[in-house]
Parts: sequence; C-alpha cells; structure tokens
Amino acid sequence: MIKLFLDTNILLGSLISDRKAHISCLSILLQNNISLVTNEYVIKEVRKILEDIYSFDQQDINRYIDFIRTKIEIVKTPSKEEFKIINSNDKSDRPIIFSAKKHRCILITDDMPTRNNAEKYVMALGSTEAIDIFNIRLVKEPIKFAKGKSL
Amino acid sequence: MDNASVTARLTGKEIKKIDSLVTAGLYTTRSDFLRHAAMHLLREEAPEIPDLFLRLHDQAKQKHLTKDKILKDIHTVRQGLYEETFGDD
Repeated sequence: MIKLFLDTNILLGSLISDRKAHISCLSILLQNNISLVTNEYVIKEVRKILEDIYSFDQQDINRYIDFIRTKIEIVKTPSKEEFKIINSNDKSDRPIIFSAKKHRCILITDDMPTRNNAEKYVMALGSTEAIDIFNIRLVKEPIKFAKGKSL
Repeated sequence: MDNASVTARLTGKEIKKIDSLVTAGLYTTRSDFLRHAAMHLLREEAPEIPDLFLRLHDQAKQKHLTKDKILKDIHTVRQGLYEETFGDD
C-alpha cells in the first residue's frame, strides 16, 4: 500500500497564495485515496510557524491542526538514538527522513535540499510530481471551493 | 443562494436502486434521494473545512506568504526545534 509522508512545507503549502503550489499541496491533503502520514515533529513545526512566525488566528490554527489529525496518521517523533542511522547534510531533517523510512512512506517535500538528503533512504517527490504520479485530482481554488459549501 | 438544478449522469443500475427506494417510500422523488445523498456527504466531509481554508488562505495572502518564504522560515524554525527537542549534537 502506498503511503505518503508529508513534510511541513506541504502542510503549510496548502495555505499559501502561490496558486500552483497551493493547489498541489491542498489536493494532496484533501484526497481520500492514498494514506497520509506525518510525525509529531512536523505538527509541532507547523504550529510553531503559524503561531510564532506568522501570528495566524489561534482558533484557526487549532482547527487546522485538528483537521490535519483527522486526515493524517500522526506517528511519534523518533528518538535521537533511532534516527542516528540517517546521514543528512542538515541534521534537523533526520527525524523526518527516519519517520518516512520507518513507516515505509514516500516522502513528499518541496524542499530540494531535504529531498536530496532523503533520497538515499526513501523515495522522495515534490508535490506536483506526486499529483502527476498518483493521478490526484486537483481541487478548485479556495474561493470557489468555499463558495461550494453554501450550495 | 437560491436553489439550483444540477444534472447528474448515473448508471441504469444506480437509477434502478434509487427508484426502488423511492417506491418503498423512503424518498419522495429521485431528486429527494440525491439531495439527501449530497447532504450526507457534505456532513461527512466536515462542512466547516472550506471556510477554514478560506480564512487561512486570506491570512496567508495578507502576510504575502509565498512558497519560497515558507521554505526559508521552515528552515530557520526547524533548526531551533531540533535543538529544543534533541539538544545539541
């Protein structure tokens, strides 16, 4: 069974205004055909960035994290002992690469250095490649998507 | 928004099943069945989610968050979070 491990940039990419990146990331997040996995380290990072760096509305952050928890399997952050087998140029990527490997996932990240570091251990793809390879249906733009709700 | 009609193409088998539910009195018409089916699916897909994404997207727009900016900020936060979680190597 194919499982996709989503890096932080994919979860945050679903919110940004770059149309192409936004639609790819959101489509991966909202599809229901492929299992999605991430770890607590990524969730912590998402929360920290939305709260401390971008000062998003606190209630919306909580709702977004709750939503992620319903859509994605969140695995434990590995210990330092576990991820020491990962040799990466950027040590802070190791918990992510290790979790993707441990849970037999394909790592989805739009960060090229992380992707290059990960490729020794797991298959790694960018969001637009994942859309093409797994034939994921693209969602509409958020404005249309939200309007659909009131139909 | 006012009510609007939508056209849906279904297989003969699906229509037959819907018709049997209408005949059994569970739904008044085929439209009634489809409306219930849509309502059920919309409830399951968490109705507040589209609004949430719209609000988050607006906030990101106000802050001019681009993919490059996010990648840069993640990189900075990740270094700090790593040290906070696992200590210095």
